[in-house]
Parts: sequence; C-alpha cells; structure tokens
Amino acid sequence: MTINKQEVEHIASLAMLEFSDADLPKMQQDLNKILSYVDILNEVDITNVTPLCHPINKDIKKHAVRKDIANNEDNHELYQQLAPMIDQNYYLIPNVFEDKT
Amino acid sequence: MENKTLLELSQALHNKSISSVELTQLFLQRINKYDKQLNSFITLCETTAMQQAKLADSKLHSNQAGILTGIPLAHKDVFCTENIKTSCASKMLDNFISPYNAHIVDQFNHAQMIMLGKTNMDQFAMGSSNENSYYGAVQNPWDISKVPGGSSGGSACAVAARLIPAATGSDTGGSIRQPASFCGICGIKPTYGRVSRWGMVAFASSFDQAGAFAKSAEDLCLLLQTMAGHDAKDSTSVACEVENYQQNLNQRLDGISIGIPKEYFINELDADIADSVMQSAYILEKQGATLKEISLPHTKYASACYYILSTAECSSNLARYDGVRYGYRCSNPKNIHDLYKRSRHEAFGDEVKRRIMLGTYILSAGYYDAYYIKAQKIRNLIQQDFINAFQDVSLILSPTTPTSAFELHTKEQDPIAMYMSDIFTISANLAGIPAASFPIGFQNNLPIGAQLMAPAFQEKIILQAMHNYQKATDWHNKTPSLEECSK
Repeated sequence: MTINKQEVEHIASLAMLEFSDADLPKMQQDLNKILSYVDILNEVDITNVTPLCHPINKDIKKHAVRKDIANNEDNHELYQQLAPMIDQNYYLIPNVFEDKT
Repeated sequence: MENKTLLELSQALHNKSISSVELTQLFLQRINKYDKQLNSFITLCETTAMQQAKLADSKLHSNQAGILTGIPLAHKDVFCTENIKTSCASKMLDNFISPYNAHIVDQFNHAQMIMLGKTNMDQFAMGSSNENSYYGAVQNPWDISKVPGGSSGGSACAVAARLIPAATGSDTGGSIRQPASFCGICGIKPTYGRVSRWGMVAFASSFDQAGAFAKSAEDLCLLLQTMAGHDAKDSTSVACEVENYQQNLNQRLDGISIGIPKEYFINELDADIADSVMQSAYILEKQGATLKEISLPHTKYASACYYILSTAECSSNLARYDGVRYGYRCSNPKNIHDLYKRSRHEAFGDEVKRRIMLGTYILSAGYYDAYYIKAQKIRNLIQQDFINAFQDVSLILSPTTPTSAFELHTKEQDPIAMYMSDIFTISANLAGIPAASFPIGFQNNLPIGAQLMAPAFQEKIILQAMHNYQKATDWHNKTPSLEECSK
C-alpha cells in the first residue's frame, strides 16, 4: 500500500499538523517506507485470532486492575495557572467560526 | 566513591563516613565537570537537592533513615516533578512546570533519595539514539562519537559515566534496555502493570512502563523494590503482591532452565555479540542453570507490529497538545485550526510528527482493519509464543541489540535503520513481560549487553540470574575513562 501527496495532506489535517510544500515529499517518502516495512504482517495467518488490546491477562484474578472510571477531583485552579491564556476559568482561543460579516 | 554500589553508599552514609550533603556535592561536581560534553541532563536541581540532602543527613543522624536515604538519583524527563520543569525533551513542553509528582517520584521521595535533576531523552520517548531531543543529542561516555541509545539515553549515560549512581527510565519498545546495553550498565523494564504510570507522560499506553538503571543486579533490586506496587491512580496498575527481590539473589540457578530463542540469532546480529551471548549462557550454566534452544516463531513480525500499534496509540495520546491548556502555543493564531496546527507543527520534532502521521493513517477510516486490528491479532500470537515457551523454561536469554552503539548523526534520516536497533527488545513490550539488559563484554571498546526475559511478575528470577552472572564476571564494574569529556 502506498500513499500519494493528497492522502499525506489529508492525514496531516486529521493529525492537526501542517507541512510545507518543501517538507511534504520527505514525509510521504518516510511514510511509504514504513508502510512497506510493515507489509510483512500480511504473511501471518490470523484466522480465528482475537485482537490483544493490552498485555494484562484479565483471566488471572491476581492480575486484576480497577475499572477505568474517572474520579471527580477538581484541580482546575492549580492547572489553569499553566494555561497560555485564561480569563475567569475560561481558556481563551481564537475564532472557531468564520466571521461572515 | 562514585563507583560504589547503592548498598556500599548506604553503608557509608549510615556509618557516617560520608554525609548526604558531601555525596550530593560530589555527584554535582562530576556533572558540572563532564556533562557539558555528554549533555545527559536537561535540568539540574542543585538547590532542592542540597535541601533534601540536609534533611536526609538529619534522618541519618536520628536513626530514622531507610536503606536508600540520602543517595542521589536522577529522573528521566518523562516523569512529572512538582514545581520542576518536565519537558519530555520537546519544545512542546519546554515551558511546562509540572503541578504534581509522578507516583514513582513520590515513591523515591518517600525513600528519601536525593533528586539531582531530570535527564535528557528522545522527545516524548520516541527514538533509539537520544538524537531527537530539543536540547541536543546525548553522547555515549565510552566514545563521544557514538550514541548512548534511546529514548532513555540521558539516564543511561549519566549512570555509566558515574554522574549519578541510579536513574529512572521508561521503556515502550526497548528504551531502557537498549541504552543500558549501549552504555554498559544494567537496566530493567518491569512487567506491564508492575510500576505505576501515573505522572509518566504517555507515549503508547499499552506498552509504556517505568523502570530503572543502575550498575548491578543488586542495585536494581533496591530500586525496583521502591518502584513496584499497586497505585489506584493508574487504572492499569496491577494489585498483585510485590515480592522481596533480594530474597533469592545469592541462590545458585539449579532447577532454572534458560531458553535461547533461535529466531534472535539472525544475519543482522553482529557475530561478536552472538558469541558473547553464548559465553554468558555457559557462565549461567556453570551457576546451575540448564540451557535449551527454544522457538519464538513470530519474532520477525514484532517490529512491524509494534510500529503499527505504538504509533496508533501515540497519535491519540499526543492529541492533547493543542496550545490551549498547557505547553507551547504559537503566536498570533488566525483561527482555531491555525492554533492547533501551528502550535503542534512548530513544537513537535520530526520523529514525533512521523509517528503521529503514521498512527493517524493507521487509525483512519478504511485502514483500521488492515493495519490496527491485524497488528493486535499478531500481538496476541507474539504473547502466546512467550506463554508457550515459558511452559518449558523459566527464563529467556537473548542479545539486547544487534550491534553495539552506532555513530551519531548516521541514522536520523532513515527511520527503518533506526527501528532495527530495537528488534530484540520490542517483543517483551508486546507481550507485557519483564526484561532486563546487563553488560557481557565489549566490541571495539564499546559495551555489549544480553537480555533476560521472564514470565509476567517474575522480575525476581531475572535479578537472581543477573546477580549470579555478575558474581562470576566483572563487566558491570568497568567504567569509561571520560578523558574526552572534561575538555
């Protein structure tokens, strides 16, 4: 599988990255090299094999982990001190919608 | 003094032949003398370190000290440290002062170790050479024209150069073991879930694991004993009991079988390294172990599998860096997309962007099954290879890397050449099993290492085998001359 210039631009926009015209060919070349490298996986017979999301074996009781539930700890005052631009608990960002006036 | 083990330093502190303040000053002097050249530290914490050392001395004088009290330590700059810059060696976090400590930082603070600073690394833990740092490359203390390995290159270099007696690292695909091998020291990646990932900046969440570097198996025991254990803040932290890692350390290896996987002895493996690994196997055999050739049939697919899954996970994990809540923000963004794109593009290094792009492609509509799901299934087969092998053997011995440390600035532009450096370490991350590297000799005056792997949560047996090897050999006591480093 090889990817063309338009696909690289599309991936970049999904990834929120921005390559110049000068940098795009190298990224395209690198991605194609790596995709060619990973083609080796097509050799493997994966019939009836279950995907493994992470290596902890949930069937072993003593290897159990807690449920992935967030707590409701509120540290916003502490963390907002790190923000580049804030105003009264709001993070300031530029326009999301285009100005049509 | 800088060549003493953690146990010897502990004894010296407890019998008052040196104070923690003196010991801390000694290592700070060494860092000031050699690190301009080596570049293993990003941040030095001299003031807080001296405060911690004074406190440690008062604990030592009032018999309230533990075994590691007063001994200096460095943390890889991937671990959050409260009120101290935590950069992940990236422009993206160059301005980030962490508001909290990683769990392992708290654990070592509780053990009263002295934090001297944060070590250099490949950006966001992505790399195998420590050339991908915003703060410049780290050099190998054995030969400054060579890489120290990565991504924990700073920690490995600092311990090898005796700038610090112990350091933490993180290992996602070999980032502790490969630099340990290149720098001639010991490094351990525990079982996935053994050590908390809370406060360790995420790269690939189903692979990342915190671990440590030291000069010997005995020293690694003390560090792992401090780091291991359940942490409720990390939802992937396993609540199984932490063993006493020192308990069997001095027992011979009778009854222990060591498998040598034939798939690791490939053409790409340097012949000298292959010989040295076999010599180390025979030494372990003399300590009572039995050797057996085994097969891990899916080994050759491990690297490709890793680069699909880890890049997919990293593209998701690094989506949080958006210039809004913390970290780098581009100047004068025109709109929200400009803010996101320019902040990320201006602050991430090339390797980070490459992996985000690959991961994004892999997870995108139309390619998800062809790559991501397929790789997850192959990950299952790779894990099963180890489960099957460990029915027959207690440990697996292999080379850590196919070559010794390579020249600086020779592989940066060729990602595949760089990825080949990790082909022997990656499988342990895919399977989630513990693995460690230890020095077994030299090739052209550069260190080489062997790797021991064990079933999940069997770190104790790795350390026992490593210690037995180190009782019979002297490689772990060799130190670089550092002649070229103090100019």
